[in-house]
Amino acid sequence: MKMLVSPVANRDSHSPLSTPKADDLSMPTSAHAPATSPVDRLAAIANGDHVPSEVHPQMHLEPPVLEIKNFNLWYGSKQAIHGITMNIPNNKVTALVGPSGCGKSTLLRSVNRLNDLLNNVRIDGDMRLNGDSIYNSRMDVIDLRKRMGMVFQKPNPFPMSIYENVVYSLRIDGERNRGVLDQICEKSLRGAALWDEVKDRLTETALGLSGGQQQRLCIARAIAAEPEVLLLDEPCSALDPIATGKVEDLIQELRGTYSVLIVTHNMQQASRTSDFTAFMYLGRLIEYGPTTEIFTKPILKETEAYVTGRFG
Amino acid sequence: MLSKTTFTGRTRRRSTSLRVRVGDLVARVLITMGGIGTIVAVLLVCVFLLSVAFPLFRAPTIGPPRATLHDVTPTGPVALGADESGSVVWSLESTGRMMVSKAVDGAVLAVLTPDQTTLSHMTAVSVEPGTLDAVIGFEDGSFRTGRIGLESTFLAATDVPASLASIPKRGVGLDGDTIVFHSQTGQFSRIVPVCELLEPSSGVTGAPLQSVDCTKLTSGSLVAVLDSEGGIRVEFIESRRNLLTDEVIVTTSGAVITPTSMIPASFVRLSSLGDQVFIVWDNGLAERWDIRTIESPRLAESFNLTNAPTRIVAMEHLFGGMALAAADSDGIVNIWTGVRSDTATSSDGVTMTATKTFSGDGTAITALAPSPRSRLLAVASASGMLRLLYSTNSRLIQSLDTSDSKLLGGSASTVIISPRENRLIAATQNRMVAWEFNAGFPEVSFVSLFRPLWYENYPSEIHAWETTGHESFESKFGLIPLIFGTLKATLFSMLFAVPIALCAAIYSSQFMSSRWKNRVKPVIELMAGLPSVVLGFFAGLVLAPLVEQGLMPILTSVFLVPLTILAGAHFWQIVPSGLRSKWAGFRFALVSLVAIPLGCLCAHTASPTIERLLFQGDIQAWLDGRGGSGLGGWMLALLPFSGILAMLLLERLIGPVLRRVSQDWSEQQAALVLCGKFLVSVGLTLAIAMVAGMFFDSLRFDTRGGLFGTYVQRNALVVGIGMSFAIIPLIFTIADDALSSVPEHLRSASLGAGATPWQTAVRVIIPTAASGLFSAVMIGLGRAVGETMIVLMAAGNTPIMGWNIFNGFQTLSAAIATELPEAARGTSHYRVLFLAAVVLFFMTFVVNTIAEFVRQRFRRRFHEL
Ligand SMILES: Nc1ncnc2c1ncn2[C@@H]1O[C@H](COP(=O)(O)OP(=O)(O)OP(=O)(O)O)[C@@H](O)[C@H]1O
Ligand SMILES: [Mg+2]
Repeated sequence: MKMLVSPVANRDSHSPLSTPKADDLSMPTSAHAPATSPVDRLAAIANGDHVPSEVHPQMHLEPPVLEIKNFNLWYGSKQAIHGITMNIPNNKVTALVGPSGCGKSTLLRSVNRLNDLLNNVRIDGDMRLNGDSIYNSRMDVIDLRKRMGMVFQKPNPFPMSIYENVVYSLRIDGERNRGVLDQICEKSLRGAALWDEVKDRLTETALGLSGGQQQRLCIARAIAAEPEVLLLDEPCSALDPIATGKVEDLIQELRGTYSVLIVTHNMQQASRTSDFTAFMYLGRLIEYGPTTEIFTKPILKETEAYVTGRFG
Repeated sequence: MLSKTTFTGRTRRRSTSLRVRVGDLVARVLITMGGIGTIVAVLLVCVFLLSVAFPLFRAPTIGPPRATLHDVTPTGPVALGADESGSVVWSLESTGRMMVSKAVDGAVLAVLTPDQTTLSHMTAVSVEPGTLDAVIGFEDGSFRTGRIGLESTFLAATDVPASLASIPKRGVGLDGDTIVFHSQTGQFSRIVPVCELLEPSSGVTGAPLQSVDCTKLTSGSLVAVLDSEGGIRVEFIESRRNLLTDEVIVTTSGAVITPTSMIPASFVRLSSLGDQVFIVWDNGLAERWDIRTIESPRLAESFNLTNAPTRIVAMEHLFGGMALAAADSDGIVNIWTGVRSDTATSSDGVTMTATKTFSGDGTAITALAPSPRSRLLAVASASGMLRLLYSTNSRLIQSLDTSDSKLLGGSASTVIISPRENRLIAATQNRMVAWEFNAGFPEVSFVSLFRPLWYENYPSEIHAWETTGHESFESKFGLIPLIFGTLKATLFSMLFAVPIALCAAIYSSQFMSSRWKNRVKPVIELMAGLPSVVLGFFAGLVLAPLVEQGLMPILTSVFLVPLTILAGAHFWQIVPSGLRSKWAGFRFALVSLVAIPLGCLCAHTASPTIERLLFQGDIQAWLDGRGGSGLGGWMLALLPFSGILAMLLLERLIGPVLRRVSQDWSEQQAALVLCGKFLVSVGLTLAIAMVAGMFFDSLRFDTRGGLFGTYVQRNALVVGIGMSFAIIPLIFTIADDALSSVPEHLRSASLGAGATPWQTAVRVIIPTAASGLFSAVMIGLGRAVGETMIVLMAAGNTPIMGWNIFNGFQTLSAAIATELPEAARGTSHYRVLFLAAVVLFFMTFVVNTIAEFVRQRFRRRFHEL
């Protein structure tokens, strides 16, 4: 099963192998995925071997909002994502966990095609949002992004007033009604647990906020856009426990109406907030299943090791 | 040897080594020196400019009076003069004696008594200031022309009499009857008193002559005489030397003038060109006679120099002969000049007009003397006041009280200004006083630099810059036309360059793929290095004729190219979305390769029709003001504004409705409707421009004479285009850097929120980069203000004030570049050019300071980024 492949060779020869067949997925402990020891499996991945993902059978029962199909991504000649196939369930919270540099942000940015902005990026495979192919040339990127809200790892408020930051997506849609804008601004800021801190200084520049406040502002900006899918890249990494709690409450509130894809390094957060958890390692999806199972009885020892903090 | 005790295995010395400290110090000293050196160098340039320009404003100096040169005979001098250097003075007394004396102490150098019996009967004398040409009128009505004064000839050092070799510089020595002057530069010259008169000619009636005047022309002398009974005669005395026999043949021609007034006139004055004679009566009436054909003088114009009971007591032509100074018994001196106009009632179309008034102290003027080298005037009045006036800028240079008994002890009856304007000499019946003086630069003052002045032969006050090499010409040192030209050049070139450069920068930083950008940007940056003389050559010699020929297509394409681009963008939306996203990468190519050429083609085909409809088929003639209504010009000028207005109107009026209704339309439908809206807005734009144009036209306002006017080949349009080539790369480069340095995460945030790249650019990128964009524009502005070669070669260098985009202008920099090499060092022209440099320096300084100020403000706003 050991196969040293260059990215290009990989692209050509790998896809039929990695295309998950239904029976493969339903039988996680098939011949393709021998129960090797953690060290073996991780070492195999580090060697560039193909190691199939362990996807819990429950995942196939959930209606997907986003289907990722054998997705590969290269930065120049360096491959950052290796054949990831996974479905993000509709109106549920899905957490992406994994050690630093494993490609979580890259995957997230691929969902709303922000990677298009980088000119050394090459992709292969496809994603579908509610059945619409994201990487199809007929897909209007702008419309696609309007259907998703994104909060970045680093806070990135615009150099405008707090108010204008929050209603940015409404502004670009040409909304002029002051009442609507005010209402949405307040609602979003409350949702992001920022309202009380900034309600008296809405016209001041957002750059005067602290790092944590800026991040919550970005969350408010994302939810003000009423997205179908909310992409959160470590939204709480710069927040104190109280604000983190509030953002988690917000995520709870959104569950059921929005589909949320959240990247986090905080295992408690993942277990508290998410319905499903995917464990990634070096650009590969290792294990994907309901959060309770991933945290209590994962199929793979590696996952267990990671979520319990023994490695990573 | 690595130690085992530390983490990295290396022990770090915890003190900075001497080498590093020394290097630090050296670097600091060098950098400080470099910085201070730069500041000092800039300051030195500034100090140098100021030091050259500053003497312009130095007050005139006048030395202590050298009183009582000599007590003259009781009858007093009838004529005064000085030699070229102003150090020797002569005076002709009514007895016919000519005294020559030193100006510094009055020591008599020579006494001449030429033909005293005749001269003692003289009744009127006139000597042209600064020359030896004279005419003397006698009791019996006859007159004689001749030469009176001091003639100086250079003397070789060997010819200087031994006794005079040691006279100090600027000193005068006498050896026998040889008068020698030793100049400041060490040159000796001999000064010879001259008093030679030709044979007498007879006057009109035989009555004593009361006023005479003469003018030396190249072929002979022109004389005008007036006798006490009012008889006036002009005579041209032509002396021709026969080249074979060496015989001098004198021929005279002339005529008697019979003025309309029967009262005897009080004096006559000839113009220095010899084309007219002025006859002045006591009561202020004056007649100007045209004597271009000497045998048949014609009355050109009669006018009033003053109103009775004020009497005109003296009238002289100013240097250059284009203006008259008339002094009256109220102490007022008026400057008159001939103004050509279509409405003039005179036979030659010229009207004498009073342009300036110098009021005195209320006492009558007793003597008036123009300077022989500038528009300086010396005026003495009955109170004993002696004033030096400058005509061009109406400036009182100096005012002296001579009534002191140690000085003249009364009012001067004669004054003169020496040929080099270094001595002022005044005499009463029995005293003569000389002052050494330095008028400085009387023609330059704040008023003459920055205010409109009434120059000679102009119908009104104007701002003018006109300097020629001819010394008798009235120099016009108004800097305003040059400053105006600089602003005009800047404005029009910025008008072209800023939109293009900023659009290009936005495009390249936001929309262009980096592969293309990496190729295009260096090319444009390379353009910034194009020598401006090449651009100037291109603009002046290639572009100017092209634009002249293709004016109408070019004007049309200015509007049609943006229109086709906009139309292209709208029709692009109709294209099925599948096809659209497939071709998305070629949008730029489509726009530049289809829309722009299409626009040019449309402009080319449509321009004859438009020209026929709006400009009578010939825009050049229309611009000339030959017929046609003002509508075309108004439409041209108003289209941009009406376009904006139409867009705003449509957006306000039907935008919300459209948005509401279009919610459930398909994309295709919406795009079609948008296209319709675009077409409507184009129509609306035209309609608004047309209605507004008709409205203004019906009010008889015309853009011709304002923004448009007669077409000159080298004009602001050509400069604007030419200068764009210099400025666009500059603005583009800086603006592109500013836009590209907006953090990527802001772009991601905006795009991630679903904004289009254009919305991202307008709402996030441009505001964030505003300070950089602003400095880009300001740097372009600084370049435009100081740019020399392009405006020199393409602007026509005519210092005209007027916004006409099709006319030329002259900028400060171009004036400095063209005129400084020709200006003699130390002259007022030279110094005024340096002053122009100071003004230019100041302008760029102001531009840069504003730029820096605004930039700092912007930066403070965004410093948290
Ligand atoms: N713009 C880029 N160009 C080249 N390589 C990149 C780029 N962005 C990310 N990478 C590489 O791709 C891999 C995945 O990066 P990514 O940012 O997705 O990691 P991550 O899982 O989000 O890590 P972290 O948890 O630290 O945020 C890393 O090895 C990173 O070095
Ligand atoms: Mg990340």
